[in-house]
Amino acid sequence: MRRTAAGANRTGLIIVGLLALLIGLAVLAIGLGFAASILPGWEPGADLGLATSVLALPYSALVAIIAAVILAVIGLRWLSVQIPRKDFAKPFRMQVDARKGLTTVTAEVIAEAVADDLESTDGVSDAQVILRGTARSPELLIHIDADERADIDAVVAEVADRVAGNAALALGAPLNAVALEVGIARTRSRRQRSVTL
Amino acid sequence: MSTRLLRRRPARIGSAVVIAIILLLLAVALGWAGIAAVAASGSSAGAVTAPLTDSGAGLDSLDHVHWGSAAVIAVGAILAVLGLIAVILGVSPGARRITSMQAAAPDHIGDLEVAVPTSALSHLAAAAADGVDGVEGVKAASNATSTIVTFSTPIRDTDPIRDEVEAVVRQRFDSISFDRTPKVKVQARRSKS
Repeated sequence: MRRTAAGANRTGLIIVGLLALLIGLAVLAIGLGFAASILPGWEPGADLGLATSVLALPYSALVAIIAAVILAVIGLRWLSVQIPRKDFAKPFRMQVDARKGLTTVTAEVIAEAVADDLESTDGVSDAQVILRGTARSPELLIHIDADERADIDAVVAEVADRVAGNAALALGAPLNAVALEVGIARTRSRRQRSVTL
Repeated sequence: MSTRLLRRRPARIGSAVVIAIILLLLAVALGWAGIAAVAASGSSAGAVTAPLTDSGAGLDSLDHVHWGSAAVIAVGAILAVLGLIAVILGVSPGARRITSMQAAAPDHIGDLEVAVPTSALSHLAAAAADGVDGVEGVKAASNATSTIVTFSTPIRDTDPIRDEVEAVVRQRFDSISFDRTPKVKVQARRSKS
């Protein structure tokens, strides 16, 4: 339900993977003698001096520090985007005419009200709601934990008809999209579900 | 709506975190070597032009290693394999993490998307199987298209219970309007008494 950096992760994995694959294959080609015919001198018996000579060039320490900073920025940025984001909508402006006053409602408040409404539904034990979009075109993302014995179809119908209907009524606009993820509330053991008489 | 609101495929967060940490370690190593080389040069004029080999990290000794040595070939092979794994993880869509359900959208909803995570399928199957007489313990594992239920029982003849468990789990899944009802496979295990 929360947004993740799935696209960035896949792109990053492909770029880093291709780089590592190409470098690894190049090292293997030289080490196993396949590259000698194309690159004279780059043969298994040669030492690494051909490649490591760049480390002895002037300014190489400075270049290494700059490369380290760039790599650190990329690594930290990539790590920071891994935290899933709720990305609630910006506060809704509900007024018809701004000259007569402003009415602003935060998406979190509406989402909390919808979650409370969901939790009063039969068979639903917990609910999380995210509201995105705009006041005229709202999108509702819902995760509910239903009881393991609940009639799932009935719960889905109740959420779509009653709860989403209430949300649309409160917002004064039909919901552009509703995504409902139905989880199951865990009961640890049979003993917790039964009563001994 | 063109894009789906619910994420269907894994976001590769674990792999991305590992690669990001490797990048950070590489940055620390490079930065340390660079700063050590600059510090070793002494004069401020020489600091800017200092070569990385002045870092004292033993980079000079690499000159005496041959391309055909086992260590170099091993490093190349490890890099190639890790690179290939990263590319495959990036390209392959990965296992679906949700199973879609059919649901009619009322007038006040433009587009309704309903799904059950595979973990919920396992809980549903395990809960249904747990209600069968003779079942002592249940575990279930699911993907988007199938569920494997493994139950333990102290009864010697497990076949009747297995049939009943399979029927109960199928019935539970049939009561839900999945786009494609997951297949059910049941395994019995004799519990030690």
